[in-house]
Amino acid sequence: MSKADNNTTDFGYKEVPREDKVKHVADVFHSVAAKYDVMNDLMSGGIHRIWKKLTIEQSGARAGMKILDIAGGTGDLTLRFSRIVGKTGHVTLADINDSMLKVGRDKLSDKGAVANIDFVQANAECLPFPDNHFDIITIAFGLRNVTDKDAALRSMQRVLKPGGKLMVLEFSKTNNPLLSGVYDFYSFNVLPKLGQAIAGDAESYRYLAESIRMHPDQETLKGMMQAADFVNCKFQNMTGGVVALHTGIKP
Amino acid sequence: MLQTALTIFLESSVNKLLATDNATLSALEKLSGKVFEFKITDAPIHLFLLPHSSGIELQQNYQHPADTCLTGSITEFRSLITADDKSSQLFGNGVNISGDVQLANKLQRIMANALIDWEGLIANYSSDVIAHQLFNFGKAAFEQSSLTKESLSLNLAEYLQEEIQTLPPRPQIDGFVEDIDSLNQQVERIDARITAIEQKILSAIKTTA
Repeated sequence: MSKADNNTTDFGYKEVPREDKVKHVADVFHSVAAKYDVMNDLMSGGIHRIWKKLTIEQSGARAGMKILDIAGGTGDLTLRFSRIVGKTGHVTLADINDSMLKVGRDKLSDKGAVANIDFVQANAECLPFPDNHFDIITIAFGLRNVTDKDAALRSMQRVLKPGGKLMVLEFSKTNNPLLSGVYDFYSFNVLPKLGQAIAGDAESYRYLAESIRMHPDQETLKGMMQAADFVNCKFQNMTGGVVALHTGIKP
Repeated sequence: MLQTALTIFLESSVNKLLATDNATLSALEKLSGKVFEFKITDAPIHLFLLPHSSGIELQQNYQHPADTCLTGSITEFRSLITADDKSSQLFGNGVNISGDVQLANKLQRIMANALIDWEGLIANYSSDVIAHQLFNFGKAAFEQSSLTKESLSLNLAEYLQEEIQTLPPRPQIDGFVEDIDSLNQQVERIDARITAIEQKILSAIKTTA
């Protein structure tokens, strides 16, 4: 969401031309794809698994459902969803980044989860699916990388069935000043060094920290979901607001 | 969040153990799409189990009705897992089943045949349950010690009073105390009468003088 002008958008703390953000984000994820899971575990101390598990539990997923996992990356949510929806259901893992898709597909194949999963390279702003198609859509740690978040939310609303649920799991804003201080220090001092040591890429992890700060806070995102014609929009803070799970229903 | 972390740990432990047990995995695959609800009555454990071809998915929340619900105390579930005759535990003696009983039977058979130390896994999972049990044990121990103390004191009193008659029983002491009281009152009355007589004598002497 650019606040500067209509031709530029944020890429971390930098302003870049709108059409270039996709390429910049793609470069980040091409760079980190191979070490993505290791880094997630290291950066969050494994807590990202709990955030994702809570998302699954609140999704209301059950056998036979059609689920779209946008920015599905290495397939953590897709794997669990594919087991829940079973043979009669279907999960589509969509990601704009082909490196991440490849890592995700390899990982899920290794785990034997292939029968009810599709892999689609797609931009969240213009999803290549029919209207009213999915029962549940999730986007976990992906929305902040999208250039036009409003367009993406509208696109998700279109492909969701009436009564279907959108779940946005994303880094957010913590209100606790002590936690904020520790979190800022960690994000800007520890994280890039960790990225350099493990993935050989400090810049991508600096972008991660910056993009989290630039992402809309809980209330703003809730308002954006309402503007995209979702109802019953609400959010649940996790780990003191470091992460928030927003949910909305397509009327 | 702690309980979610424990659930993830239990789930991944079971799935790691099942990874080499193809017979169990193919049996679980047949139950794919079914949901089992476990309610432990004496501990804060409420889990949903979703079998699939790679093991099980455990959830603390499931937003639809489960196919089968199993309710019982932790001891009843433990004896179900460790009992030789599992059917005796499933029907009547312990765990209560509602919903599709046939499914419960199938799952129970799969769990019984899987070479897994369920009891050990449950013990690991239920660190909070153990804390709960320790609290209950502590409470029970305290209640027992109070009971023992009371019983011991009764027995000791009985022994001293009735058996060796070293100490008098309570009614005898009460009677003795009452006797002392009435004696005390009698003495006080005599004392008062003596004082009154003394005063009369003194006043008689004064008038004659």
